[in-house]
Amino acid sequence: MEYVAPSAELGALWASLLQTAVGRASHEVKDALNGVSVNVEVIRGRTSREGVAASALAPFADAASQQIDRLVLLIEAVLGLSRMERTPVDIGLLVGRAAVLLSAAPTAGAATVAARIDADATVSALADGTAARVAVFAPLLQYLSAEGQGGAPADLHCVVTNDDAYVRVVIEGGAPVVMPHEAIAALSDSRITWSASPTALAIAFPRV
Amino acid sequence: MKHPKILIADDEAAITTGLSAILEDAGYVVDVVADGQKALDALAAERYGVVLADLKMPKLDGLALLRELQLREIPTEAIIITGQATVDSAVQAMQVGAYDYIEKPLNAEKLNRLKALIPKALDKYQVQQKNRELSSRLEGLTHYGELTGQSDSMRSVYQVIEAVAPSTASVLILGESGTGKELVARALHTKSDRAKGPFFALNCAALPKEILENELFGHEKGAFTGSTNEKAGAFEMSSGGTIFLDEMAEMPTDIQVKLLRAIETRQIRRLGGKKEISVDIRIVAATNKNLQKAITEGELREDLYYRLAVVEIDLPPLRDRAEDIQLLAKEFLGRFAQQNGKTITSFEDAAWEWIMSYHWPGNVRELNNAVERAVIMSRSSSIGPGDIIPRHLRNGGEMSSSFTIPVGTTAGEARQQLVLRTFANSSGDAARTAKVLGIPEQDVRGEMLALINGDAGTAPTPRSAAPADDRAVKARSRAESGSKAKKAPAAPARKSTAKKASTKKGR
Repeated sequence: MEYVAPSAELGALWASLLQTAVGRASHEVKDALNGVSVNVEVIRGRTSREGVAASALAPFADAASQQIDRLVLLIEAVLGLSRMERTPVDIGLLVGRAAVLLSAAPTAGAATVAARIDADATVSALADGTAARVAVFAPLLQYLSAEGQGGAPADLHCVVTNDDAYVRVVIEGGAPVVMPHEAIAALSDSRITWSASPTALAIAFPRV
Repeated sequence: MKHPKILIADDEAAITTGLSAILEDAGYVVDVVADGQKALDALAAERYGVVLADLKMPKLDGLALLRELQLREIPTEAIIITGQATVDSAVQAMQVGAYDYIEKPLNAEKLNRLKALIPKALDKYQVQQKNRELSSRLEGLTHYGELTGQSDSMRSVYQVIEAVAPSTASVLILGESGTGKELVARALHTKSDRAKGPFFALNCAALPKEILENELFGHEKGAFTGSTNEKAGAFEMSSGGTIFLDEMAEMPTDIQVKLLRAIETRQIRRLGGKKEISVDIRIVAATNKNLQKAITEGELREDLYYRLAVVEIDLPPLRDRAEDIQLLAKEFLGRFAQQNGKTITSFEDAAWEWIMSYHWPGNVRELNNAVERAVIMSRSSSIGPGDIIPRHLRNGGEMSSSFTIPVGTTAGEARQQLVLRTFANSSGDAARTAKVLGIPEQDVRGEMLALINGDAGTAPTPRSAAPADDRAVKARSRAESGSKAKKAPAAPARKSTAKKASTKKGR
C-alpha cells in the first residue's frame, strides 16, 4: 500500500468534484443532525418531568440512534473520500461511499445513486486513487447535474464486478451517462478505460 | 384559550415524530404529513394556525406549497424549516408569505426559537382569522346598530367601528352633513365596554361659547350671575360612558384648550370651581369641515386634532353609495307609513328613477325627510314622482344628466322622458334642447305640451302652433319653479294648461 500524489490537474478536479458531492449531501447531513437533535430534545424535556415512563422515551431514543447511524455513514464517507487514497484502490468501497453521499436527493424529485457491489468480486485495482475517484464521481455528478438542466431524473445504479484483468463499474441511468471532457483530459495518463452505451457507462480499472 | 392546530410537513419520520412530541408536550395539537401535496390537502380541508414545512419535500416542495397557499387563499402561518439555508431560499420563502425561516439542524437553541415563534405566529393567525370572520359576518349585513347600508364603503365603516369600539381610543368621524355621524358615534358606544354607561351628545356649533363651556364642564354655585346651584357638565355626566362632540371644529379655540387638557389629564374643573374632578370618558368627535383648512386658518388646534383623531372614520356621502339608496328609501317608507297610519307599500317606477338619479346633497337625512314628506303627501298606495320630488326641483334643474328607461317603456314615453330631461338640463331652452337632441324645435314644444296636458308619450308634433306653444312651455316652466307664474302671458287657449300646472304645483 502506498500513497500516490495526484497530478495538479487531477487533484484540482477531484477537489471540485468532492465539494459538489458534499454540497449535495449537506441536506442529508443536516436532516440526520436534526433527527438526533429533535429526538434528544424530546428525551431531555420528558426526563426533566417526574413520573415519565421509559416507554415514553424509548421511541425517541431509537429514532435518535438511527439518525446517528445515518450520520456516521455520511461522515465516514466524507472523511474517507477526503483522505489521500492508497494504491491499490478498493473500488467497491469507493463506489459504496459515492452511493452513500449521493443517495439522497438535494431537492424533491431529483435523481439519486444506488450501488450494488458483487460480493464475490475482487475489487482492488491498481489505479491511481485520485484518478479512480475522478473516474467514478465525474460521470455520476455530470449525470445528476444535467437533470437539473432538462435531463431525465431517473436514478443511477452502479454495479461493481470483476474479471481476470479488470474491476468493472457499470453506471446505468435513464439517459446517457458520459465521462465529462475535463475528466477525460485529467485521466489521459491513467490506466483507467471506459466505454459508453446509450444509457450506461462501463469503467474498467486494472486489477491488482 | 385553545390553540389552533399545527401541521408538520416533512418526509423525515425521525424528525416529525420528535418535533410533534416536543410540540404536544408544549400543549399543542399536532398533525403530521409526509409531503407537500398532503400538506396542501390537509390545509385545504382543515384549519391549521401554523404549518411547519420542510423546504425539500416530495411531490410539492416548501416554496411550491407556500405559493399554492397564497393562490388558494388558505389561511395559515408557515414556518419553513430547511437544511438548504441560502439567502436566496430564505428571501424566496418570505416573498411567498412564510412567517419565518429556521435552518436545520434544530439544536436546543433553534428549538427554543421555534417554540417562541409558534405562539406569535398563532397570534397573528388568530387576529387575521378574527378579521376574516368579521368580514364574512359583515358581508351580508344591511344594518349595523342604527346604521343602514350594504355598500362596500359602509361595510368598511362597520369593520372599523367593530375593531375600534372595544378600545378607549378617541375617534374622529368625518363626513358631510346628514351622513349619519351621530349614528356612528352611538354604534361606537353601544359596541364598547362603556355601553352600560351614558352617551352624551353635544353639538358644538349650536351653542354660544359661554353656554357650550358650561355644558361641557358644568359650574359651581355662584360661578356667574344667576348660577344659584351647582351643575355637572357633559364630561361629568358622561363619565363611564361616551361623549360625542358634533361639529367640533366650530368650537371656540379657548374652549379647545380646556378640552385638550381634559383629554390629556382626564380631569376637568367646573366654571368657578377650584377642585379637579376626575372623569372616565371616551371622546368621539365629528365634523363636516375641511380640517386641514381649519388647522391652517387657526380655527382648530392641531394638537387637539391629533388627540381626537386617533382613529378617523370617513363616512361616505349617499351619492357615493348608490346601492344603499333603495335600501334606505324602502326602510324609511315602511317606518313613516307605519308612523302615519298609511298603507303605502312602494314607490312608482318614475319615483324610483328620480330617487336613484338625484345626487342627495343632504345625504341620508335629506332622503329621510323626502320620504317622510312623500308619505304624508301621498294619497295612494304608492309614492309617485310628484310626491317625492321637492317642489323646487320639479323643473328638473337638479336632475341627473342620465336616466333609466325600463324595459316595457313605449317609444313615445321614452322620447318624452328624453325631451323632458334634456329640456330641464338646458334650463328650459327649447331651441338648445332641439339642438342637443337633433330634432326640430317644434317637436320639443310638442312633447312638453303633451306632458303638461298629461298625454304621456303621445305627443303630436304641433309644428303649426309654435309661437303660442312656446309661451305655454315657458309659463309651465315658471309655474313649476314657483316663480312669476302669475305674470306668464298666456293665450286663452293656454289658460287651462297654466291652471293645470298650478294645480299640480299645489299638491
